[in-house]
Amino acid sequence: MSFPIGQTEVVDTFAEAFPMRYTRVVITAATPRWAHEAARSMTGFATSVIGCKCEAAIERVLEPGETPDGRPGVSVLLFAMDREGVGKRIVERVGQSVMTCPTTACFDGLPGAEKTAPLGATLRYFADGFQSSKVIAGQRFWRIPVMEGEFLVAEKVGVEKGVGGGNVIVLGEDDERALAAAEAAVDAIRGDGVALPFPGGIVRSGSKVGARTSSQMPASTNHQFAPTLRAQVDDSLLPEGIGSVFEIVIDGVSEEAVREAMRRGLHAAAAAGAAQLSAANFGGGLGPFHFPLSELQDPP
Amino acid sequence: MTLTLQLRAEPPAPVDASVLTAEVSARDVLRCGRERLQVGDLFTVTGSVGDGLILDGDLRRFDGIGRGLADGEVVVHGDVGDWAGADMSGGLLAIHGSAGNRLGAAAPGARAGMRGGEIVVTGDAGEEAGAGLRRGLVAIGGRAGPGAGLRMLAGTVIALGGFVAEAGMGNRRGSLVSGASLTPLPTYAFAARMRLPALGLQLRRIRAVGLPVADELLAARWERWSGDGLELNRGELLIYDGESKHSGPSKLGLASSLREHRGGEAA
Repeated sequence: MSFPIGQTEVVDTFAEAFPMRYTRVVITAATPRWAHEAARSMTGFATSVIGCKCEAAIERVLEPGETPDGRPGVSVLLFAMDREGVGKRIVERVGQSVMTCPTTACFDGLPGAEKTAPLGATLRYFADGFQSSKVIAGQRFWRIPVMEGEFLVAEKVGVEKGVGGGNVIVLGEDDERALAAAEAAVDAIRGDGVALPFPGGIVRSGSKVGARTSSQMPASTNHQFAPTLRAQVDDSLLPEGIGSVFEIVIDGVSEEAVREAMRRGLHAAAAAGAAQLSAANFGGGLGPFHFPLSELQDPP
Repeated sequence: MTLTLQLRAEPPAPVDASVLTAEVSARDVLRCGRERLQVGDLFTVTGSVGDGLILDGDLRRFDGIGRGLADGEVVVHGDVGDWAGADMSGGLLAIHGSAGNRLGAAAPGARAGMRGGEIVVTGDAGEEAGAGLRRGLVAIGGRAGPGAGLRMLAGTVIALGGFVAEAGMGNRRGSLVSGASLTPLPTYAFAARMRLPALGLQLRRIRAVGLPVADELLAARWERWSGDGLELNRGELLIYDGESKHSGPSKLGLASSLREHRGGEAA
């Protein structure tokens, strides 16, 4: 079963997603370059909660007028399976990648959230007793003396419920055309409320749960979409003429954010010449959030 | 909702204004010298009780305005007397005028004064602003009189027009911020000239609540002096005297400091 979006066939299936917890931090720096460097470092090796304990990505670039200290900034979303996981990962990553980065400061991007996780409250111990704090407009910040000068960090960050694992699968006649369509989808998807945790927003090694040959592997290659294996496996999902497949994994701050991100991605990939579009699921038994592609036929 | 009190006539004697809260009514009693007057005798009361209070008029004879404020806003259009904002623990006291002595200060004999909240004064402040400050922000658009930040424990006192003299005596962990050139007490030691992100946030905050903070202050490097050396030496005095001028220790002074430092190590 399928339906068209433009000239592209869309498989009548659904993406399956699951609840996660997330936080947002706002990283600022003296220049856009250093804000971006910190954000890239912080979101590195955060592609999959299975292998990296969290998923994180740059949400968007912030103009100076949008940040608490009036400097150029970047907002970052970080997802984990529970609040404790978010708390551990955010401390590790801000501590190693933002505090270490020249000129940066780090702010809570979810002020007013009911649930929080400590950030500066933990990182302050790096100051070895020389830390100090200021309460500014009702929020406490920690000042950590460092070799460059001073690192300013919010005492805590908000933690909210989010949705992880939304996805779009982009199929093309060859790797070049499939990648071009996937890139177009990424460009359309990126924005407020969504994180694309894989490199450049695209994963070329989509996975299935578990592995046939090793109990140590929590996940293994999605052989159904691997062109190499089309003639080798019985359950290949690749139609004739498909030479390459990419997946775009979408974590969002809400079900609606993921749904609309998938809609933008589907229509952009179709316009960019995707041969076929699909989505990954696990039969519906893994996650409570289902996103039928048939409900995304209307353009954004 | 906001209650507005417009001063009708100058009172005959100093007034204890600490009863003037957002919940005050025209029938509430004020002490005026040895007299007791009703609020309605001195003010025209308009508006309705809510979470804000506006005071309008020359209130220099009114002491203790905003005293003990815990939340909400008290906005004053005019000068105020002594002890404004003393013992505050939250909320915002915005004075569009000048303040008398002991703005946000601790009561005599009390170890700690203001425990939170924000005081913003567009004009000048008298003696000992922020004395004994425990937490919170006292921001003065003009100059702060002698003894600002006396024995302050923590918190921040900002004087965009600078401090007159003896700022930060006995300061333990507090921050004093001078927007004008200043010779610190000898118990303060120069640390560095630097950009301070927390100060930048504070300056943006006081700009947002009504103080005209120049852009150059937001982008500036500030001298950081540590003190009071007779106390914990954990406090700071931050001084801005213009980006164009070189300040802090001269090269000779720096060399002298290094010699002292090395001498200290040898000893």
